[in-house]
This record gives sequence, structure tokens and C-alpha cells, in this order.
Amino acid sequence: MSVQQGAAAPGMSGLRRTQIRFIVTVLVPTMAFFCVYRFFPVGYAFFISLHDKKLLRAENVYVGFENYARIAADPIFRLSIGNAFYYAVGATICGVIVSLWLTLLLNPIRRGSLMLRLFYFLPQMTNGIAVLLMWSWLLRPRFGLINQLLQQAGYQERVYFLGDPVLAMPTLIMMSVWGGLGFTMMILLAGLRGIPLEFYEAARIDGGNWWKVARFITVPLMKPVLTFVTITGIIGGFNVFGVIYVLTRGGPLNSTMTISYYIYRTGFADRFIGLASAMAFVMFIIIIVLTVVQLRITRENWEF
Amino acid sequence: MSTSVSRRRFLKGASLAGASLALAACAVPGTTPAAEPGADPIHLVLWGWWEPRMAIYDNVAQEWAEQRDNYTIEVLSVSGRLEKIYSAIEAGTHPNLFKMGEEFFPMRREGLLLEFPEEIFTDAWYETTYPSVNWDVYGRYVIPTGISSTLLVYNRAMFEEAGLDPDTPPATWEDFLVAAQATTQSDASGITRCGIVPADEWLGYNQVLQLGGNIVDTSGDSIKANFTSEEAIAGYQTVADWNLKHGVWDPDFPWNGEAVGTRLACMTEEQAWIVGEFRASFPDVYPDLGFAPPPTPTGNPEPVHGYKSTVLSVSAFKGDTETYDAVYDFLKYLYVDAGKDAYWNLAELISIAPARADLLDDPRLLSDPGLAMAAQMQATEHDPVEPPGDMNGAIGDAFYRIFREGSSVEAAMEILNTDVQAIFDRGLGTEMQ
Repeated sequence: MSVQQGAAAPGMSGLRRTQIRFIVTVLVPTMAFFCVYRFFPVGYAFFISLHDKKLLRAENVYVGFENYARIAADPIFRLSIGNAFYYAVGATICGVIVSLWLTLLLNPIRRGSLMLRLFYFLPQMTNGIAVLLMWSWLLRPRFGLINQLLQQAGYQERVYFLGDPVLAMPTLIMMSVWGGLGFTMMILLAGLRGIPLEFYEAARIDGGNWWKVARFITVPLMKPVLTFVTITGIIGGFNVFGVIYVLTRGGPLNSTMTISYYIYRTGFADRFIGLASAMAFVMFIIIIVLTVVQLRITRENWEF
Repeated sequence: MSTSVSRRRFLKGASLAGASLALAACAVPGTTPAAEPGADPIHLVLWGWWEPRMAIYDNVAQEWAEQRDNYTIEVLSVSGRLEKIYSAIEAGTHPNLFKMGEEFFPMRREGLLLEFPEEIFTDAWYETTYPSVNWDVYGRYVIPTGISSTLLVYNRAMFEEAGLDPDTPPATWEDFLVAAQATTQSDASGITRCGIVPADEWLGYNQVLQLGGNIVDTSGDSIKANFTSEEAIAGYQTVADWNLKHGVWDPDFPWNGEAVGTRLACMTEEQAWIVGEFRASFPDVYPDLGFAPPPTPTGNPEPVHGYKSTVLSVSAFKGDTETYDAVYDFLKYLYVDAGKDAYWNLAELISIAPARADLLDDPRLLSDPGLAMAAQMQATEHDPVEPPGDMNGAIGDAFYRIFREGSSVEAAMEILNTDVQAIFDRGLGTEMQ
């Protein structure tokens, strides 16, 4: 309709005029907003990363790529990248496997399914800090509920879930899996409901049991959803900060030091904002690479 | 009557509203508006953190503003204060006034703070009002609210139950250990009640200070880690022995305030703020608690009983010179004219002994046994030590090596010394000098 109206206007098509108005009234303010609050800070952060910049200090000495050389030689920075990948991959893979398993179990349930979904979604709706504090109490070595239960079950050694360099990261991963279960299940459930029922009917006629249906129909046809959940989960997990800040502060012995927390500590606690900006740029490049991988994988067209 | 809106008009309106909201969001809340030269009124902004405290500052601030025709003031409690104030300083949108924490020292060193005028804050006023404050440390840039001295907190009922005299708390390390052993309880699962739980933060630091040592050496041109000194090793060995040798402390117990507050421990050494924590969070245990100077090796108060820190009040930033008169006027009202009630409210809220001399014999202070004890102890103020945050984590790692990996204290201190020296070599910790 707008095309016809526009065609009547001399010199400039109505469609183009509408487009220009749209650009001026919607896209320009949005782009301006993004330029000011997204692109400029990214550019400025790169600028700062080339300087020996310390917060509160007036001098701002250009040092080229010296900050990048410093972080390349910093063993804690390298460790923090490894830890971030460990957390991201561990939390995502475990989260997707557990969520998928539970989704497949819960999907056939019709009566009370809403309550069950709500139950799994509860951690997502609860205040994150409160949840983390609750976990810290549950996991205490001396009076924590989980250690008490382990002792009653006959395991007498105290388990230092958050105080042992080997156990601390798996414990954080376990907490992440628990916390993100409901959200991942919702996405997987939506994907599951999108699979045409004809496939299941055909499988049933052919005598396929639950396991075979899950293995040969459900999981392969959910590959796009699983890929999306996995890649976005890894990118999100790579940025992990809150759980580290509240529970471990990167310890013990830097075993949970992740790149986000290390950047925060370097930039705001130690005030070396130039160095922290260089770290942030390295992190930015890693996330760009992950995002490109995600786009390449998910750009395939899937048709049932 | 219904009104139909065309899609185009709706889109236009929504776009304008969106753009307006985006522009409105660009304004940084609480920043000083640019004032025309000589324009009235002048608007000041004070940032701080923790709402109950900022409410006290707000009361004083609004009283001040009500008594003046052309000045207004906005008091904001901000979360994540360091990130926000550092960013605001970088952007030039910082407030006029700021409730200071440990960031005072680098801010002062970098010349960001406005010096209080001598004609308002005279030397005589400083000397008579705040005689216990070391002004070499703070200069004319801030005034302390109070001094947080370390106290021995002990459960009097547990003392009685163990056959100890609750009116004679331990004064020497030897008595301390005897009391800790007498009040510790154990069963097959291990310790069920600790005789002592030391403070989580700066674990062992009190013992090093009580021996006359320090964990840093600030005597030279540059700061040095000092964890391998004789006093430091002896101090940390004492703390380690509470667990490894004497069995009066289990490091897996909750933090010291909770342990004493839930009767899982009898004694702790902590700064005076813990008095308020017990009063507010553990009211059923609070009446049982006694407060005393922390024990020292010999029972003498020299060199010090423990770590003391100073809680600072409000500083002013350099910036818009048009607002300086208003800033000075507010600081004068806050520190001189508002009287001691506002000071008392702040000191009571954060549970410290006020630095202001005319409050030290105030009946409100003397009726609180914990604060009265803290007030007695502030005379031997130790110079402030504001070490970088990484250092506390490094001390925690040292105790991990001692308790969990079976390392000797000497070996753990060697590693700790290297780790902390690396922190200093990165240019951190200069606030400690």
C-alpha cells in the first residue's frame, strides 16, 4: 500500500521517503546510541590499552603494545584464560547434557508439566547473590549440609568443595549447571516441540523404543538448537564473573581465576586500567572468534 | 471516544519517545550541573556507600541546605563505589564530595583532593578536637569519623562454665592459650566449639604486630615484603599452632563473627566494628560478650595490641571553582557546626570509637562496653596500612599451604614473601608508606 502511495509522489518514491524517515527517526538515534555507548568505548579501550594508564593518575604515557607483551608474559593471565575455557566448556557441556536428558524425560509428561518446568526454572528467578550465598553455606567443609550428608553416608573425610584447587572449579561448574538448568530446558523444550510428530509416529510404527527415538530422531533433529545453546553458553561462560567474585575471588591458589575477574582486579582493585584494557581486548578477540565459529555453524539452513 | 493513530504517526511518536529516552539516559545521575558564573543556586553532590550511613549524612546535608538560600545538596548512596568514582573522575563527572575509604591515599597522592582552608579549620581546632589523629597521614584533606581498634571479644558465660573468671580476661599469650584450651570442646568429629577463631582478614597480622614486627618494611625507599622476618614467622607460627599443636581452632569453622555469634567459638580478636555486628545480628549472644584489649606476648600494651584502622569521613574534589565556597561552607557545617550528635550517630552506626575528643567521655559511648573499650585503645594508634587486595588472598594461600598441604610456616612464608613482593614490584602497595 505504501508502495502505491509512494509511486504517486513525483521525484522520490514513497517507499524511499518512508525508508528515509525510518532511518532518521529510528536507525540514526539507535546507531548514535550504539556509537556513543558501544563502539566509542571499545575504541577508547583499545586506545587506553596502548598507554601506561593508571586510574586516578593524570599522566598517560604511550607505550605501544607493551601492555600486550606484559600480559603475554603473565602466567596468571594465561592461567585465567585456561580457567575461563575450563569453566565455559565444562558448564556448557554438562548443562546441555543434563538439560537435554531432563527435557527428554519431562517432555512426555502432560499432567503437572507446568509445575515441573516452574520447579526447574526457580533458580533462574531467584536472586543470584542469595543463591550463591546459599551454596556457600551448603558447601562449607565443617558444618555444611552436603558434608554432613556425606559423613552420614560413611564418607568421613571433609570435602573442601570451594577450598581445594582441584575441586573448586568443578564445584562452580556444578552450581552453574544447576542454576542454568531451567533456562536451557526451556530452549530445548521449544526445539523439541518444533520437531514434526510424523517422525515419532513413523518411528513408533517401526518399533523404535524411547532410547532409539531419542538417539536417532530427537537429538539429530535438535542439532541447530543444541548448537545454539552450546555456543552461546560457551561465550557466556567465558565471561563468568559474579560467581567468582562472590565465592572464591579467584582462589584457592588462583585455581578459579578467570579472565573477567582478573581484568576487574587489575583495572579496578589495582587501578592498572591500561593493562586491564589490553587484557579486555584479548578477551574481546577470543569472543569474536567464538562468535564467528557460532555464526558459521548456525548459518546452515535446517528444514524438516 | 476512540482515537485511531496511523502507523506512520505511531512510528514517529515511538521514535521520538525512544530518542528522548536515549538522550535522557545519557545524563549521569547525581553529577554537578554546569553552573553559569555567579549563577544561583549552587548544587552540590555527595557520594558515599551504605544507605544507613548516607542517610545520616543526608540529614546533616539537608539541614545545611535548609539554612541557606542558594545552596542545595544531593546525597547519594552508590553501589560499586570504586568503579563508579574512578570512572566519574576519568570522565570529569565526579561529585563535589565523597565519603572516603582506602582510596583516599591514592587520591590525595595524585592531587585530586581539595585542601580544607586554614582559616576555617585552624590548627588549634584540629589539636583540641582530634588530639589522637596523626595529621601527617591525612593532611587537611579529610577528617576521620573514628578509629577502629582491635579488641578481644570473649563469651563471659563460656568463661564461667569453664571455671575462668570472666572479669579477668587473658592479657598474655600464655593466658590466652589457657583460656582457649579451657573453652574448646570436641567430640569424635573434631572440634565442636573453638576456644578462639581469629579474624579472616589479615589473618595473623595482629600477632606479628604484638611481637613488634610488621609484614611490610617501609623503612627504605621502596616498600618491601617482610613475611620472612623473625617476628612475622613467629606470629604466623603462633596462629598455625592454635590449630596444629593446641587444637583450639579449626580453620573450617565459619568466620569469626558468626562463630562467636552462634556460640561456635568463645573468643576472637577483631576490630571494633564487630561490636555492632554482634549487637545487630546476634542479639541473644551479645549480652554474654565481654570486651578487652587483645593479649600480647608479655601482657604489656607495647608495642601495640593489634591492627587499627581509621574510618574516614568526607573529602572534597578539585573541580568547578564556582562551587568551592559552597563546598567549604558545607565542610564547616559538617565538621564544625553540626555538633557532635551527627558524629556520634555515624560512630555508633559503624561501631567505632569516635575520633572527636568531646565524644570520648560521652555517656552514650561509655554505656556501650565494646565501644568504651575501643575508645580506651585508640590512643596507641598504629599508622594506617592499606595494602592491595591481592595481598590478603596471598596470605590465605599461605595458610592453605600450611593447613592443607602440610607446609612448614617458614616455607609458606618464603613463598608468601615472594608473592607479595611481586605485588609491590607491580607498583601496588605504595599507600602503605
